[in-house]
Amino acid sequence: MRSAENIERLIKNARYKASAEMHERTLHDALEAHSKSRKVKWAAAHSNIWRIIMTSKITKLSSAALIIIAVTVGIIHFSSSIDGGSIVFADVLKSIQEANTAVWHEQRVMTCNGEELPFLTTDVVRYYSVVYGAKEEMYAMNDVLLQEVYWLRGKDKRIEVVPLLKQYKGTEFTEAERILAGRSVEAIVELVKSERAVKLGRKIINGREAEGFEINNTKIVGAFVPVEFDSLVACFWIDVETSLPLRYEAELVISDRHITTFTGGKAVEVKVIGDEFQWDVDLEKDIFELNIPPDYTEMEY
Amino acid sequence: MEDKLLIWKLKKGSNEALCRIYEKYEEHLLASAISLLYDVGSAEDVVHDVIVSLAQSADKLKLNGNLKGYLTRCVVNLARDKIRAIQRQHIGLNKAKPAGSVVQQPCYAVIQDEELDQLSQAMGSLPYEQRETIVLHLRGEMTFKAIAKSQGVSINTVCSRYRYGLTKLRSLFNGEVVK
Repeated sequence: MRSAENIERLIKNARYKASAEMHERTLHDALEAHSKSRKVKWAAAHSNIWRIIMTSKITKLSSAALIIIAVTVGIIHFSSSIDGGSIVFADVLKSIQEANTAVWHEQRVMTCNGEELPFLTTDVVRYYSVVYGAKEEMYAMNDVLLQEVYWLRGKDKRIEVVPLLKQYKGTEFTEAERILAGRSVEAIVELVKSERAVKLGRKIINGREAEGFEINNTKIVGAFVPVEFDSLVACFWIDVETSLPLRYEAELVISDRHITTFTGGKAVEVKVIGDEFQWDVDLEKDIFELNIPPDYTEMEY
Repeated sequence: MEDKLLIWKLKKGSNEALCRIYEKYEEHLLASAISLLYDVGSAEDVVHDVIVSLAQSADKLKLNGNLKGYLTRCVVNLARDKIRAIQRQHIGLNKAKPAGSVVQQPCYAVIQDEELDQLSQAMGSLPYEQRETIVLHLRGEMTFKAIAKSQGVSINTVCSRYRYGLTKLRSLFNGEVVK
C-alpha cells in the first residue's frame, strides 16, 4: 500500500530524460533565439547613437581603406632604392592588377582616453573587383550589419546603405576615388608621389615572408577622407613571393569635430587592422549589385 | 544562489548560463509536461517552447520566486494552452516512453521506470484541474494560495482539487491502475 506521502514524493521527484534529438534541437533553438534577441536589443539601444554617427563623417573612414592599395604601391615605389631583394612597385601593381579580385577582413577599434567605444568597434569584410568596383560590409556584434558601402565604378558614385536606420545615401566620387576607380597607373603614381616610407624589414606573417613599410602623417588619406587627422601611422606588409599585400595596421588620432561629436570633443584614437587577404578569388557579380529595399529612404545630410 | 547567478549571467548575454539552466531543469520540466499532457512529443514541444521563450526574453525576466518554480509554471501554462487547443485529454501513455531513470543501478532503474509509467497513467485519469494543481504544488513548489490566485479560484477549491486528486492517485496506485 502506498501512503499519500509516498505518492507525493514520487510525483515530486519524477524525472524524464529527454531524447538526444530533443535535447539538441532545444539547445540549438534556444541559443539562436538568445543570440537574436541580444542583437535586436543591441540594435535598438544603439540606433540613436548610430543616427548621430551617420550624420558625422566617421563612416568616411570606409574610404580610407580604399587607398590601401594605392598607398602601398606608392610608398614602395617612392621610398625604396630598389635592389635585387626588395619588393618593387611595378611588381606589386602588376600582381594586384592580375589578381582581379580580393576579399579581406578589417577590424576597426576606436577608443577615447584609453576606453574602448564598443558601439564603434566593427568588423568589416571588404571586396574588391577590377571589373565591378568595391564594396564593404561593416558588422558589429559579429553579424549585425551596420552599413554597406558600394563604390560603383560605372556610376562614379559611392553608395552607403544603413539597414539599422533603413536609409541610404549616394555621393559622387572624390577626385582621389575616381583616380583609383580609373586604375590609371600614372594617375595613382601622381597621387602618391610625395609620400615617403620607412622600411621595417621582413617578418613572417601567417607563414609567409613579408616586407614591411611604415608611413607617418600621409596626406593621401585627406584626399579620401574629409576629416583632419592629428596623427597617422600606417604599416603595410607585402608578401615577398607574390608581391601582394598581406596585412596593414594603422593608428590614427582624430580631433575633427565631426568625429568627436559623441565623445564630448575629446580626441578619438582609431586602430585599423586589415588581414586575411584572399587574392584572385571567385566573386559573384551580385555582391556588387546595389539592391536597396523599397522602404529605405534617402539620407538628408 | 546558483540560479540567481545563472539568471544574472543570462541577462548579461551568457550562452553558458542558458545551457546550464536548460540542462539543470530539462528532466524536471519534461516530467512535469508529461504529467500534464501524457504525450512525450507534445511534452517535448512544450519544454522546447519554454526554454526558447526564456532565451528570447531573458532581459525582461523578473523572478519573484525560484527559477525551478517559474519554469514549471511556464510549462503548466503552455500545457494548458496546448490542451485547450487540441481538446485532448486522457491520452494513454502508450506513446510516452519514460526514459532511463536517473538512478544508475539497473534493478532500481527498472522499478523507477515502472513507477513513472504507473504515475503517468494514473495522472492521466484525473481531471485536468486536479492534475495541474498537483503539478503546480509538488513540482512547481507553489503554495495553495499562489495556485488559487493564478487559477482565479478560491484557496478551498485548490485544496479540494489537490486532496481529491491525491486520493484518487492513491487508490489507483493501490491496485486499480490498469496498464
